[in-house]
Amino acid sequence: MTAKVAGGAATPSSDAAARTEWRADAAADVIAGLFRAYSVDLVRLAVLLVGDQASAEDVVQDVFARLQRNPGRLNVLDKPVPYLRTAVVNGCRSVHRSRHRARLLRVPHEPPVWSAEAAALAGEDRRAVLAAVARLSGRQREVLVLRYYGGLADQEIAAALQLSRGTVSSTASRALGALARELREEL
Amino acid sequence: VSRIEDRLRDAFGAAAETVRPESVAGLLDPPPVTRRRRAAALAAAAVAVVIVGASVITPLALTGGHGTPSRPAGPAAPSPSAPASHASAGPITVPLTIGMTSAQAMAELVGAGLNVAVQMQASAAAPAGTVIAQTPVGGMRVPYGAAIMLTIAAGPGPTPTPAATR
Repeated sequence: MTAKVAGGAATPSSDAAARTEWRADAAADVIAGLFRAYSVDLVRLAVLLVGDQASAEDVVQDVFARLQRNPGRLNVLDKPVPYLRTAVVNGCRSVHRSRHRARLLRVPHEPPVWSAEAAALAGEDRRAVLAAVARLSGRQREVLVLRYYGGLADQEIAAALQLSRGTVSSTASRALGALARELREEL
Repeated sequence: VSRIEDRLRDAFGAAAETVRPESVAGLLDPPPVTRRRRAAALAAAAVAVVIVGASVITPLALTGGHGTPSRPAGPAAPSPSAPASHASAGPITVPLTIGMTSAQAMAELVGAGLNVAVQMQASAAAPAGTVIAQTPVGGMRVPYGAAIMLTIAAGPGPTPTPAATR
């Protein structure tokens, strides 16, 4: 019914022709409005990808801080939602990369919300499912989260992750197969 | 639809709901540039509305546009601030937001229990950042969580008249 998230790959840069300067107060207002409307959803998306709310909020704040530093980016955002979604997914990848480095140094981070330790999520079955998702590859996890939490069509997932549509669907089916095996379930 | 897909939807939804809307911090101050005070005031206002309106916040522009928005209060984790009256959300009258700044407009719509979709459009006539079009129009009756498309003036424009504060 609405085109709010339909299609439209995120194009955060380039397109210099469309670039004009925003007045600082107008840009700040738009950015505050976008944060007002989308921050909770984006933090929830990020939590599923990085596991804990503190890291998720950092990712989302970073995305908006970059917008604040470069409000000219607003000019190429005729569809801000796909841009914000892609930026959050990319931010979550950075979290995983820095955690990988930190693991080598044995620096602990917050337990994921689906760990028994965090005690944030009721239901042993849900925790098992999410723990299994966390063991998948980064791309598999992203595809599953965007499809089964975000409710996005494969075409939209492809745009968000800069993959081909075929890669999205093959990634999803491999991921579902791996989960079914791990959770001992028929597909 | 396989059972594993159902289990994924359920688990993702439940994990997402561990993020309570009222627990998400407001927008931090921008890195030092200009108009810090104004941005801080906007962020503070946004936080205030989040707290006041926590019971009616409807996520999710991230759902593909065909799902119903997830309500803040699930059966497993009822929001302490959710009034029972919202359990049976009747039709909502769409507020008129044309001419408002985008932050005001989004606060108004989200506060009314609606979803917001945004598109930017260059406009020579309207002040940048103000709402120049809205679909459905103000006054329409729509279901809880319906998506309202706002068109926001992009780029430089005439200086806005000082916006009425809420």
